[in-house]
Amino acid sequence: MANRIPFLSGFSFLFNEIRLISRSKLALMSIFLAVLATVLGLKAIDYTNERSLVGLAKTSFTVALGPAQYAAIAGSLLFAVLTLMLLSKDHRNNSTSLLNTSCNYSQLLVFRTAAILSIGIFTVVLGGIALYAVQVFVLEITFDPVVSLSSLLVITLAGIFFTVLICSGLYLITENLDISFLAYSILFFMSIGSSNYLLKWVQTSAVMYSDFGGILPVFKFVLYNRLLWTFVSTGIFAVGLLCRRRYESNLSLSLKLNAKQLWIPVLVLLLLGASLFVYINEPYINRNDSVFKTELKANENVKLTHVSSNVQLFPVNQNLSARVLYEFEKESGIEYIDFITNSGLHIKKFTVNGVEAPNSLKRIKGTDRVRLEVPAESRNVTIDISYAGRLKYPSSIGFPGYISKESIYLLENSHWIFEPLTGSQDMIEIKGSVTAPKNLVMVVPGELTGVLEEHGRKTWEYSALSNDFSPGVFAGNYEVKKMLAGSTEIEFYYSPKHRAYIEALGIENYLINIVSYYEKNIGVYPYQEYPLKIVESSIYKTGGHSTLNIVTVSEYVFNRELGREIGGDSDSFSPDLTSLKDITFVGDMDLLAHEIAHQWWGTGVFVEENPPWSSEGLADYLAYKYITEEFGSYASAYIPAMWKGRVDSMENSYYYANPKMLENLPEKQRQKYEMETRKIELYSQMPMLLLRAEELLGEDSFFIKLSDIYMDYRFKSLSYEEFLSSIGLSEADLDENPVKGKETGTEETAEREAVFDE
Amino acid sequence: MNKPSTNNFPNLLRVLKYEVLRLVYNKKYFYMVLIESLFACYILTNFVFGGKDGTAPFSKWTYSEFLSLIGPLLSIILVLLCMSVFSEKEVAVRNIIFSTPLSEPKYYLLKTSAITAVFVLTASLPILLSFAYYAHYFNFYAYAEFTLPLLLFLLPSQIFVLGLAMAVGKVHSRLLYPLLPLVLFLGFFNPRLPAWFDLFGNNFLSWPLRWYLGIMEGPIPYILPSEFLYSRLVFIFMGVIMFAFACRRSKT
Repeated sequence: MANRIPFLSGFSFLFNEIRLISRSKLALMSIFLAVLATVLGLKAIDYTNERSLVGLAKTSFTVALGPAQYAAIAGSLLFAVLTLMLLSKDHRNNSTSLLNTSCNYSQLLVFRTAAILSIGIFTVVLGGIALYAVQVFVLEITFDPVVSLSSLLVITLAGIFFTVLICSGLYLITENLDISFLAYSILFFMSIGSSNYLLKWVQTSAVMYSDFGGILPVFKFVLYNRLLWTFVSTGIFAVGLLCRRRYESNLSLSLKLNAKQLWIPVLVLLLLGASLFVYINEPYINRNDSVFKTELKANENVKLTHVSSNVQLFPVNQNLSARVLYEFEKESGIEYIDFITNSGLHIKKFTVNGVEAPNSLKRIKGTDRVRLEVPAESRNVTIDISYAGRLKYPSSIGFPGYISKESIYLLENSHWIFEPLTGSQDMIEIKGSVTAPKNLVMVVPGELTGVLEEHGRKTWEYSALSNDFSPGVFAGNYEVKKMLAGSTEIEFYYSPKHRAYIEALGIENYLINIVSYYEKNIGVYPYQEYPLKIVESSIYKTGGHSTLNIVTVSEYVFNRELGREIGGDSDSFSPDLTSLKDITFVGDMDLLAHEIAHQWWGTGVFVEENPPWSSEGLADYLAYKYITEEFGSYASAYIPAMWKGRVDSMENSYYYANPKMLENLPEKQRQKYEMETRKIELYSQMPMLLLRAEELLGEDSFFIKLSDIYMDYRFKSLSYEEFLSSIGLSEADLDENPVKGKETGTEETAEREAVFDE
Repeated sequence: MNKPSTNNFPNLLRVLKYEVLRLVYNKKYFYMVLIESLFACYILTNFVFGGKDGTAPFSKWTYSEFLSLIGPLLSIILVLLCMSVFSEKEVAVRNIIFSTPLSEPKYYLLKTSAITAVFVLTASLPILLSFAYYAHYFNFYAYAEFTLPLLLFLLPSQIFVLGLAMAVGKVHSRLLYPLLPLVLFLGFFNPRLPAWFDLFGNNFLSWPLRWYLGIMEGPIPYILPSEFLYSRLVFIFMGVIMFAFACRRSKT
């Protein structure tokens, strides 16, 4: 057998390979194109069709991901060919046997692969330099080395590394360039087309970095993906070494010969085992999240009366610990109470009526719910639960809760406070405290009753009275502006980074106008004793959200380029809004108006969801009415046209007309179809029905009736039947002869997709 | 040197048959077809079931999407088949071949015909799989409806790739290698390229159809924008031109 290459000769061998590769035209072309892709990635925002990203301001954070991803895609494709070409060189030159007799060919291949990896490192370094030069000197955008370089390193360089190792492995297994490249093509497609973040091994699943929320909430997914593929790619390469043909032998004989070098099969087993282990033990995603479970039923015989919570947030470790005390009133005979939990949070201790009962807790299989046994005869039950851990998410994008050093975003449906599945007919007394590092500004629900500071951490205490248990807390490096809209106090929390845009656009005036419009037409703000808090949130949750006296809106609404151009039209926000060139801004204000409308319909009046009936339809309809009032009917015409288009699209869809065929669909696809259909019913069909009601009753009369309903049902539940009887119309009245949306502005609809909030 | 006139059509057919067998009758081709079939099954079960923009899974639009998804892999196979024409072994025997009454243009025509025949066989596999899939799941047998999508979303791109691969290979066999990542990039990445660069139609299909076609009511008719149709004609035309360039006699 050939001798091993000594350590130092190995190095000289490696440098020799690098020198040979660097002379190859294909290598030079690969380096050049990958660097070019890095620079082109700075314009990634401009090539997007995501409504949320249209005209987004280019900052060190918002431009950091594009270059890394573009370079990863280009680099992966180019280095795949380069690797396969270089590894098949000996085979094509018929020099394999010769080399086999003169050196350890396995080592030679390892060194050659290492040489290609070195070229990959050089490419990324060169890309980083080019990126810095163009970003700073040409585009004049601040360069954040930590954000940009970590992306290039973890996304681009890792992507190239994986490609080189996978292609090397595939070539060694098949000994055929064609089959190897075809197999690589499948893996590449899988990365581009898969919705599972673990399989996105080239460009990763991150969509955009938040300008104010930090990169960690999405970057941890990137890191875990890289951990998995480090094992997978080296595993494939190790399998390749195991399969490498020896002395013109066939595969099985080569396997036997290679297996004699015991370290190779051991390495293969270790790496493939590690890959499997990392994949199975994925730590961030909860596939049973209640976000996808619309059939969860609340127990109407149990009422939540008091909640007292004490939550400690630890941004460095991204975890929390909590102790929550729930008080219930229930009918006798009820033996259990269900809670929606978060599977990342582990219950440490709980008591029922002051008694520890560890055996009375059951996790409901296939869900994120737990069932707690309670004394059947007791009318009043007190449950005290202590839990801790890291939140898990329903998906790797658009998650409802995260904790990081720069910002905290905890919607109620992240279940950071476990949600009891009970009826909500009466008011619930909510008291709580949240403790976090003092550098953050915390926004709490209800009324802030006190702030304590201790050991570099602050505790914000709050209390609220609500007909619905939906606590959300949000934190960041906020500036606060206070203003009045009539008698309603508004607190506007925004990132100081976006102050210039907010001031230039006069966002505060629009906030006042929106609240005033609703107060004038619907009634006073439902929570007069609390301020209405408008909170900027990160781009990791697009759209907005509305909970008890807090409205969150994604940062892009406050962070677009001033004087940008869209489709050749200047979008310079002239005060005279007589054309649709400001449609992005109108869309942003529509989103704000929609979320604020939820304070009246959704939290003020609890709207019992029964598709198409839900608070979303009312919020959409009222936001449209406000936009018409603020910007004129020409600017708002695209909204009903968009509703109509979506409803028409739904009604003309194949599965809508052939519901029986849904049985053929795989579970995931059926779930996706049902979600999309529900979304259209809630956000497009219902507002159209409300427009129809307005048409039948007249705008003034309809608004008076809406106002009356609001006064009658404030802090109560409102069903569709109750709503219809209150306005004096039937379902048939609304269904027949539906409203014909104006045709103007329909060409803008795709770019102006309204965002699906919670 | 003038070559004797040839009227060797039956011989050419025999040679063509031999060339086709040489391409098909090997393990490599079997694995290629296997990978491609598995990929087609994956596309059918994961992307076709839902239907494109609410249309039926067996609508022309959905079928167009299916073709745009399998197109890149078929093109990769096409380029790999073309590589065999310009391989070192093939080049080594070319002088001997040209000393026979076979002219250079005829040689390339023969090779391309063989590749085309093999490609038709290769492309027919996922298409037949899709037919079986539709029959099994949806009792759908009106396969003639897919003629137009096949003509618009599969044929132009493959003719263009074939012409390009032959022309590029003629210039330098090494230039075929960068074609592989280019084809993958154009096929699987949708940066919303204009129709003239949208080889497989995937960029066009990534738009919401109703919005793009301006059809807000009723079913979405299978009408493609004129720019897209012209681009397909241009792709076919360019493919043929490049093929003609590849077939021309060398100056040496």
